[in-house]
Amino acid sequence: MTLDQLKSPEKLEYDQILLVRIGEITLKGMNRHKFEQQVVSNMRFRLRDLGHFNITPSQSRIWVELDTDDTESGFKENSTRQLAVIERIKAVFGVVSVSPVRRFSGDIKTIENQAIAYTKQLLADGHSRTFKIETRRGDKRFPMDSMEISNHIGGLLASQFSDLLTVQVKNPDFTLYIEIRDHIYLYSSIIKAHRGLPSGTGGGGLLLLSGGIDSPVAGYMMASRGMKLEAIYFHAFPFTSDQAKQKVIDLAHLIARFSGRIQLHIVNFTDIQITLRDQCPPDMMTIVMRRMMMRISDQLAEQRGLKALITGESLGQVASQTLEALVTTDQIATRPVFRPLIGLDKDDTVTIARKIGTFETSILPYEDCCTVFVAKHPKTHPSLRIAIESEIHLDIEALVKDGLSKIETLTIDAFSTSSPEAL
Amino acid sequence: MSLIYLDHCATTLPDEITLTYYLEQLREHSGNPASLHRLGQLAAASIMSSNKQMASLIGCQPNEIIWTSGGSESINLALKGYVAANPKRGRTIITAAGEHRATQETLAALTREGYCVVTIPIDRTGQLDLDTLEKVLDDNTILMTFLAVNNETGAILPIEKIVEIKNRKRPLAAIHLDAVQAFGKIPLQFSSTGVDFISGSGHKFGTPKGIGFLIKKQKIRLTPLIHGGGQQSGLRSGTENAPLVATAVFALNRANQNILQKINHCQNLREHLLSDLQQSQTEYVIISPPAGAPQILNLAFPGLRGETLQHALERSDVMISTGSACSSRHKGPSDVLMAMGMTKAVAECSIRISLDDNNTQAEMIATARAIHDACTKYRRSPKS
Repeated sequence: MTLDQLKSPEKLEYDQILLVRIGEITLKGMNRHKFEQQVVSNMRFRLRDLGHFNITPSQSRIWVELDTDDTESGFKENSTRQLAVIERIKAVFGVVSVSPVRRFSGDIKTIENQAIAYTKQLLADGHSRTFKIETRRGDKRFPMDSMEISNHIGGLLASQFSDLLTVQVKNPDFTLYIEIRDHIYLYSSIIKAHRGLPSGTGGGGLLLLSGGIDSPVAGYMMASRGMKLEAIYFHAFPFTSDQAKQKVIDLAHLIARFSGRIQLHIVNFTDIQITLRDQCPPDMMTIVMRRMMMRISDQLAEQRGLKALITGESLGQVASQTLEALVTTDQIATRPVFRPLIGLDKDDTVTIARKIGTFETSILPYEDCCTVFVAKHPKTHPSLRIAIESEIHLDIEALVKDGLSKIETLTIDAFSTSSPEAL
Repeated sequence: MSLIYLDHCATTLPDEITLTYYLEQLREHSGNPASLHRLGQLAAASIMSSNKQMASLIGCQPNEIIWTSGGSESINLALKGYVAANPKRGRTIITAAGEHRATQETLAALTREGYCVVTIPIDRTGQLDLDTLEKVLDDNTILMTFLAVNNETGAILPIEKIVEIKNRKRPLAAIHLDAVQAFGKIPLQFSSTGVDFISGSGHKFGTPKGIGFLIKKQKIRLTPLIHGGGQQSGLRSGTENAPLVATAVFALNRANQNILQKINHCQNLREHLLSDLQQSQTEYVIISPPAGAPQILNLAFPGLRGETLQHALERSDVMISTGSACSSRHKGPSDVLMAMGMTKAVAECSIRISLDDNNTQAEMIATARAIHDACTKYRRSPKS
């Protein structure tokens, strides 16, 4: 029988909902409930401008459905709204995968009709496919067991769509999942999410954000371990342009899609940079500048109650990221400095940057303040003693105070209604 | 003071009179010139009349004008179109260091097709080394292409000398001039140059963007880049834009009026600016040659990067550029300045100020002050 010959069954009733699976957080024993609540709360916040949703956790899963009062604009499969909701949920750390699901009630006859209608839609392009059925029967009162249901529905679909469907148990083109619980659930697609731990469960960290490829990735990685992010950027106009500053704001928006709201602190670094340029040996300029940034960041973190600093450094990547150089900057910080990219190859970092969508913005060609005063031959293996000697003419306390007094703070929310990403 | 616009080489903003004229043309001549009805014929008549005026402005025949989308298309059509149409004339193309990227990239494409491109060096004043030109010009040379006025330094090409060398050594080679920065800025008559074709762009003399032209001698054969309805004798298909053509002619006519006084005015502004800088003891290096086009002034302030100065001046509402706006995404010092033998330290610290006759002395005073303030605050002291 071909698709055209198949009579459409009578109109079928079902609810369109999303099944969200949460992963690692289920391992956390006593904390599980707290973490689950955090995922739900983060999801609720991320979806707030897309409609009114009922978000219900149940047995390591979260169900998302559109509130009945808000169904006018629809939540159909592949609708713009549903796709947007899935994109947002995928970016909530703690979520492992999302599936758009049809939910209905009834008996084996209802399952037959629903499965035929669902499969017909899947096969609309007319291409042949292999498939299998996987059934889970949570409600043991249902008269057939899982294996029987799979065999029955599999056989039915294979005969109904004999031109297009073949059963294949290993690596089929698609799997039709049937779950029988309080209702019956039918779906075939499992969309992978970003995993990790829910934002806000891992304490707060201050990300040293530049306009490059690395620091946004470092921020993403620590946020994926549940860390709540704030960010600091050192702006040295006119040595760096207003476009460079805008680029950092844009990057913060991109990170905030995953991490949630970010406080971005923009330090006016111009006067400090001029002082360093005029009073430090040129070959130590970058090291001294980074030590100064570290001091300001450390003190700001203290003021903001943030327990760690985060940088995008990778061992040996540039002159200022040799082990000796890192020692000279580490010595400044009074809290842990997390460097999640320390052992990564640049290609690996670029792969993550592409995955999270920051790469294209990061490679826009605006100078950042680390590059404008770079010496022709910067010191690659500075000792701590040389670093300290290089700062001998500086009134460090006054400079740090100056930096901390010239901070503009922006609240970056990727999904505020005014944001271009908001739907 | 309101915004001080000193970036006329990047684009010359259309003034109110030109915009009013353009709107009028859009209302009256928006028919398709190929349509046989009255509206179409009105547009066709407008183009014919524009071509006559353009011919008299530029010193060519009306049928020697090809309207294009802008300078880059004109240059592409000239270079690619000429070598394609004259395959037996030779395989060598001669150009100079520091050409605009539209020329450089077109020639790079022709190199990939097997043409040999010879680049003549330029000296400290941006001038072509004519001895080298004389040496390399041989029977295999099909084409030469040069900037009439360098867009970054204002250096003016000695056209007569080049034509004389060509006529003596290789009369069969054609000469193309990229005169994008020359039309409406310095007196230029196609017929008296002795070159074979010449490219121009409307937005450099106050036309809205989207129109350029290639003027070519009648005998020059070209293969078109754009095929279609066969407009403009089949050399550039696509519906002709009668309102924009009329506006380009209108704007060029306005730019050419009293051109010598305008040049003089720009010369005075330039001297005023330099004298103000001297008075405030702001050290600078003049990169533009003394006999260059006076509306282009390329200066370097060693110790202060051009980009930094540009950002600082923008805060004072002074708009200038560093090198060519068309390659502002190209990192590193300017190719032109490096070709002139400048050190990287000087080339990186250069800015381009490009003037027009609407700029005023008061603006020069304000600009000199803004430069002085930026240098005082941000420039690296010579000892470090």
